[in-house]
Amino acid sequence: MEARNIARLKSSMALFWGVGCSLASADVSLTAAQAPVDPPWEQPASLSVIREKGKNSVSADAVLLYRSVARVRSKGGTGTSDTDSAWSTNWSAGGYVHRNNDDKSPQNDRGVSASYSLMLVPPGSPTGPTVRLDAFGKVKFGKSLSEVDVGQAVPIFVDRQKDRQLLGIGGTYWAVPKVSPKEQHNQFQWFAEGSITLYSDNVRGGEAVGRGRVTGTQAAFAINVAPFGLAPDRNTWGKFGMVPTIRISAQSQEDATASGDRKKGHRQLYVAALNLAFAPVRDYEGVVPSLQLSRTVGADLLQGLGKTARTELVLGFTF
Amino acid sequence: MAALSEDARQALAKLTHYAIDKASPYPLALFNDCDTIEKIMDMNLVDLSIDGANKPILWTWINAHCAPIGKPVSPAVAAKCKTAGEVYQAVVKAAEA
Repeated sequence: MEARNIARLKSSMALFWGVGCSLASADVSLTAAQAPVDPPWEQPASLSVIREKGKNSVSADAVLLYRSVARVRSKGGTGTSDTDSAWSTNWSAGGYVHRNNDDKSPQNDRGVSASYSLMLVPPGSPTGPTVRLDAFGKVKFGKSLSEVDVGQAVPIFVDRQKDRQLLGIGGTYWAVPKVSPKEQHNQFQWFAEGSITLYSDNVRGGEAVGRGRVTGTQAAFAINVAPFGLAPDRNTWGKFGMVPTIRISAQSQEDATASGDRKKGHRQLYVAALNLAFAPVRDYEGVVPSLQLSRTVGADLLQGLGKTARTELVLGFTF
Repeated sequence: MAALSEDARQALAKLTHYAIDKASPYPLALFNDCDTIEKIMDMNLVDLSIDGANKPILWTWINAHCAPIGKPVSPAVAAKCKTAGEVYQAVVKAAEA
């Protein structure tokens, strides 16, 4: 079984690398992500083999994503009038593999996804609030190994087909500081983000419970505060500039329909995070630290996050 | 490489300053010490609070409105610009290319 898994893994990786090489002249990146759904960061594709107690386990992560170059448009004008506007569109498409043949928490996600997004910079005076409006759509088809609860002590994993469609609009608003950026140091700043997303999430296959389609609406809002501004060189601490930021976000998901074994639900997710980002302000070539403390409470269908309440402290170093 | 006329340079300077003002939360045009591109040439974009989600506003605005004098700045060049002056130079270089 293990040998077969490794052989299949090798063939999958060979396919990904092959496609990556053949499209080398295009804007193609081969990256890995922690999860198959909207990863917040990217990292190089990885393949690792762990040998423990005479047994091998293999872990692989790869996302091949093609991102189009943004196409920009305007309704004419010189770009120096308060009635002018501009917008850009881009799309991306790709495939992903997340695989781990560990017995306790096996993972086998693979599939394809495509997305389209539009950003509008609306008319208005540049001395007023900075605003951007966004619209996006995303479709994803694939298969995943899912743990199902059938009331047994040993977890049961089944391979299931999944598809998901998202359609949303959003916006970001930056409040106007009432001073010149040259006059005031450590200027308090804040900006807010909001979005409404329609979702459809479908699970098929496998013989256990949890199959069916759920559709619904997600509303999300976040406020970001930089008490001392965003310029690290204005808030120095030894060789470093420091930018503390606070982000508080709230999100609500309300299912409109549910079919099969799945039940309609209502989920809320709250996150509060304190970030301390450091940046060297003088000639310094060494380790640059960062610190994030966050508290997450709630659940999120689209991130695959079950009901949780956790506090996380992340200490990072950039070399 | 075609040299730009003084009028073309001034038009691109005005567009660049307007785009920076549009992307920055600071009301640059309201203050005498930063109401033209020459006065903010040395300022880092991050000092103008242009970073992350509002940086695309800057380049979308410039690239959407730079014609017919200029040409869009490539994402690779745009990503390297750290100061307002570097943004202006990138816009001028793209126009001269």
